[in-house]
Amino acid sequence: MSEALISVENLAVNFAGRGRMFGPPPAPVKAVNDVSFSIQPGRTFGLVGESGSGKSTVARAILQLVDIHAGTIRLEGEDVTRVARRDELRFRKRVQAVLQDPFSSLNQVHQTGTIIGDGITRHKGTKGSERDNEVRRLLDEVGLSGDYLARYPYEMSGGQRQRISIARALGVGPKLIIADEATSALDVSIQSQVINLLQDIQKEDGVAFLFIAHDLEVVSHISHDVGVMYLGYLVERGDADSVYEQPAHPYTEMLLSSIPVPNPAEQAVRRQLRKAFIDGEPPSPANLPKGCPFANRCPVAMDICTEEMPDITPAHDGGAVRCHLHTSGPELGGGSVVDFIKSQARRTADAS
Amino acid sequence: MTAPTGTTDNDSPATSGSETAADIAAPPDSPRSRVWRRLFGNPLALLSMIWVFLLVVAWIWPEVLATRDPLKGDPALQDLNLTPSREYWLGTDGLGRDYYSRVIFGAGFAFQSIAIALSIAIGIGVPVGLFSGWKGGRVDRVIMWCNDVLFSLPIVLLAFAVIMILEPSLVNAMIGVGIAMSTRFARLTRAVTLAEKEELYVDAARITGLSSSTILRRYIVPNLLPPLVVQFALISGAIILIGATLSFLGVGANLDDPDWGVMLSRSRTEFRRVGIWQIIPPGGALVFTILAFNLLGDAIRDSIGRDRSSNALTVSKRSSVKPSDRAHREGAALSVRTMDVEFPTQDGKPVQILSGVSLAVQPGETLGIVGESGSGKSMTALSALGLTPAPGQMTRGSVQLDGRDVTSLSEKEWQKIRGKDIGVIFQEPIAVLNPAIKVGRQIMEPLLLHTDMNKKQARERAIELLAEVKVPDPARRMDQYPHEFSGGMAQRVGIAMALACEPKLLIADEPTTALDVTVQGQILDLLMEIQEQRGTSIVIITHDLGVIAEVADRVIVMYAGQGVEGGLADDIFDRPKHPYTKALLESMPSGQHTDRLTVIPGMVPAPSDWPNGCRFAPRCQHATDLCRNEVPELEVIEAGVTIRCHHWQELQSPATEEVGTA
Amino acid sequence: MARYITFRVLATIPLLFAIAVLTFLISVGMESRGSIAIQICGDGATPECIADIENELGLNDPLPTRFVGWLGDVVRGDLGTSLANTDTDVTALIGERIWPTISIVAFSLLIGVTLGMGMGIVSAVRPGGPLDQSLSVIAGTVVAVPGFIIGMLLSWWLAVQWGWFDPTGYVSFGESVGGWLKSIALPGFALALPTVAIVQRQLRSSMANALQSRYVLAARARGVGRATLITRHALPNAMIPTITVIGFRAAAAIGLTVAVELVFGIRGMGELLITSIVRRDVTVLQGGMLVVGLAVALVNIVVDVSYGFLNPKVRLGS
Repeated sequence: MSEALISVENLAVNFAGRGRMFGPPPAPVKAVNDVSFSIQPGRTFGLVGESGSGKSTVARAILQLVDIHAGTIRLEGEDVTRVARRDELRFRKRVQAVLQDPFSSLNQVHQTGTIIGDGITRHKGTKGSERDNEVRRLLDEVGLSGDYLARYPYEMSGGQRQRISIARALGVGPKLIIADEATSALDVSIQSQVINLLQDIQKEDGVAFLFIAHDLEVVSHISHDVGVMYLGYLVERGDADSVYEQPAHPYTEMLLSSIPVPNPAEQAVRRQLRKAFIDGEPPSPANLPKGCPFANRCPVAMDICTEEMPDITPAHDGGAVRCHLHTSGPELGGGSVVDFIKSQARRTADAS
Repeated sequence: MTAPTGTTDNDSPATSGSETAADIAAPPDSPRSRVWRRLFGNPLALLSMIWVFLLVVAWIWPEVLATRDPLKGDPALQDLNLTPSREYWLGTDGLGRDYYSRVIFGAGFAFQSIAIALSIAIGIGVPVGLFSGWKGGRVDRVIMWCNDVLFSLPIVLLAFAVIMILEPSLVNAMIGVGIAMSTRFARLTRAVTLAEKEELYVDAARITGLSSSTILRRYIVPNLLPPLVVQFALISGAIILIGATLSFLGVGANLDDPDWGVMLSRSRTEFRRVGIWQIIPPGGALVFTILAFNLLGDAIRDSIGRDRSSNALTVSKRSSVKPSDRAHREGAALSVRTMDVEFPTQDGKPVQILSGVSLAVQPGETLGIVGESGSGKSMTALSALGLTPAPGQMTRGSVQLDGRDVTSLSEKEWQKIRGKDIGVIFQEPIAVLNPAIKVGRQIMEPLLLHTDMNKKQARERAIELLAEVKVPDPARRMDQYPHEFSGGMAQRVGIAMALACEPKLLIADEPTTALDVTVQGQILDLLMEIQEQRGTSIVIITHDLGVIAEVADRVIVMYAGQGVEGGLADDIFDRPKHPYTKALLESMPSGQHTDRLTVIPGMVPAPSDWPNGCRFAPRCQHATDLCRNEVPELEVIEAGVTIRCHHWQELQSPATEEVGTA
Repeated sequence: MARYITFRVLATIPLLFAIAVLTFLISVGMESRGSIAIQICGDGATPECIADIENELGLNDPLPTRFVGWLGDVVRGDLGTSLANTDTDVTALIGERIWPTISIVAFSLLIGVTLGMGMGIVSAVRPGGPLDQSLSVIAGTVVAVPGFIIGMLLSWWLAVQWGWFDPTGYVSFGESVGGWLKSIALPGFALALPTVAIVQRQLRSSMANALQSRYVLAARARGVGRATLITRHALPNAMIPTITVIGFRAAAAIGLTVAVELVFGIRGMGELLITSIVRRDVTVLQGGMLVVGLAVALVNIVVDVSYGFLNPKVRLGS
């Protein structure tokens, strides 16, 4: 088995809670809890979840933008949980990012040449015309002409700006690029351009991606492996196709059945499945319940689910899942969780 | 202490991100050139700049402008307290000195005041603000608390304190004023730094590995300059005003100096006896100068800021709407025929935002309008309701609601229909609720407005409505404020409000875009349930084809202000006719790990750049010369099935059907 | 709400403490420039005079002791004695002089805020309309005219030329209510006019903002009429930043009243403070500053409480 490029082990990130004036000190918000996964060189790992799931926090933790409460992060075997000042540049060279909002992730007052070039100067020391040539090469790689060198962000569309962000990330020659909702703010017709571009870059430069998004369709398309997050926990992890076709965790199933697809027949199927899930509000990360955080919306929740947080257990095809159904639940008998949910739903429908 | 806002600048968080309609219509323009244009186009700003320029000349070369010695009066004692004459343009003061010359020399003192006070204010305030904002946390809180203590004291008083310690003089007075003003600059700088620090481009700079000092210097400070420049001008005006006040009080400039404030303090003891003219020359110079700086500051702020000439109250005048040449469909709940909407632009030539848009919804049916940004889908819904944002207006078309012509209805007549016969659900659920009014009260509003319920009945009905949209514990949540609701819950409230008076038609503008996926599913299910139970017609506007597949019976696909295809939802998905629809469907990832997605090259053109022929031609792989030169008409194949493409029939045949890859 | 008010009142204590420290620093500052005692005794200062003053002010004790002692006195209401007139108690002096100042400032704020708000709403309703444009021009100009100039102009026309008012002098409330009103009317107006302009401009701007918001558009889409949109929907939200500005202006007015009092020959706090500077009467100035500081702190509380009243997020602590 090849050595992982980056491995995240038992990561936990907390934020300070908001207290009332003159009240007791507030409980911390547990944004990320006991998250573990790894990414092989040149492969894409997709991290999917809704708002409050902690997926962006995982990215910010890896990028050293937030404090890590517990856990370890290793990059090429080296511990990078808390990168020391003198090692920071070396770290930054290997891990880069493309962020969500194409408008605010570029400095309005800088030209493209500066935006992309600043990183190159910082890491390689190149300046002047040599740097400009390097920038032109990068622009070409992301499909933009050399004219863009002197342009300002306001002159470009969302898709073009996102390409500039990608070029900026590539400029320093990273081994891993974290794409945090990199396509979410783009129109559909532009999204596909950017997705194809990312896949091309992976083929040519062997860059690994941590692709973070809330759209499981996009994530499954582009990723080799996928992780599903809910309220700070990694509830399922596995091969992209397996997770998509046969999810092991009920939440993944709920997610899948909620994403609308442009296919009326498939949509009707999903609507049926959605009905099985309970209309409820997810608990607040500042106030996580004792047991599994998904219990209040799960149609097949058992007593143990509200008592204990499930541990990580292996799921089919080498993946992993955090769900009591796989440990102490009724015999799934090799059948899928989805079938189980459907059969439960049928049983309740018959009974009423 | 009062809640700090760095300035009284007025960008409301809910709206500062979105563009106004006028911004959409205008061609993309360099922000810098737009600022200059607005600034120099402003006559008051120009006058102010000229005045300030003259003052600068008076400061540096007073001899050039003055005609006499400002310090010596005419030995002939008859020339005291004169009003203007050919000899003395602005008259003379109590010692026979020429006012005009004294005023000219006074400019120097005004600028001296600004120079001293501003350098101290900026020299202290900006670094403190930068440091405080950048560090954040405890350090920031402590520094800002101290700053705010100084800030809340009257400037005159702080100046008094400094003058007491040092001694009365213009310089010392200005030191005091400068220290007081530094608190303003500190507040502003800190607010901007805090805001910019959170922006993604700063994160990106950190991720790239740039050092903190580089980020502050080259990333944050340049973004700090525009608000600083505005503050610069406005505070200069304030400095002159306060400086003059201090001199007037006798604790500022020397009593022998031709400082405007000092001149006024002399006049104060005399004017009742001698005449009001004694106040006019120094007072006038003072007022004009303060005014000039204020106007400049305002003008700069306006040219940087958003266009505020239109708001939710401004109604565009429905002047001469050309009628449509297409007939309306029988029995439609809502029918729009060939609607054109135009916006005037800077250079006079109006820009069309919508061209020939037609749609119809039957009772109990759901119509989906799908398009990307710039397609005009939201504008269509707004215009159909008479809510075209000014200065845009509908120039052609006809709109019928349940058979009744509403094309040229007055605002008063519209008020009776909106909320009662039509309900609207908007995109951002919380932004759409008034933050200062309890939620229950907002739901009761349409009930009290359109029905004859009294308050008690309306309240009960509102609780019922909340229960219908599945808000748990409705009686308690009625009395909560919008900020206490999550996005999904707030949208349910929005739906409750829209349905309150049981309208026959519901218009939902991107109702789920701002919501989480699992909540999205719940909201869509809720809408479908409502339709089943009440038979309401729904028009749903979205960019998400998946949502369309979920809820729509019929679909209209929009591109660049036109409807390009329309038909039954199933047909559109199975057998799309328009190349754009086809390409759109093919470019969506479907979860299977395939190699490449189909791509539509290029991007959606802006309204000012719409091509002459078919608007999709530049991006269409099947485009011919005919497509580039002639606009395809909207062809009606049968009722509710339309297509706008020259070559659609050829493209349907299997021989020419290709799966495009780009 | 009660909880919020309590907190706001308690939060004022550190503010008052900070003001006390700053005020104390004035005498420290003066000292670093040469002994106060010598300055006050002037030329021909005798050792007795210096020793007297040093004892009086406790100038030889270490700083912290002095501060604590001084603060103790202040809290008990003892603001010391005037250095210029050693038989005058500062507290009593301020007690006399403060009423004219309070009358004028309160009067000016009352008029300024009510007129300003009225004009602000009128302007915002039809932006760019003739009323709005003329009001904006007038307001923009008035803001640039210092209060004391307005005072002199008003005095000239209304008092000297037409004789409706007395050009100078203050009549206390106790003596004659009518007289009191007449004596504070002109100075009050002079101070009020810029306030009117400032409030008008701010409210107009905030209203313009509120009227462009999504929630007002949504309300209009529900059929809510024009008048209701303005008063019930836009105005409460527009008041929030306006209240803050009113607070700033109140503090400024307390400072600028000094000049206006001078124009109308009113023997209020203004004249007291100016004279204290000229005569280097540090105890009087310090007493005055503390009182003003207290006034400012009170204004802050009022503003904060109104703010909490209008803004549910602040009041309920989201």
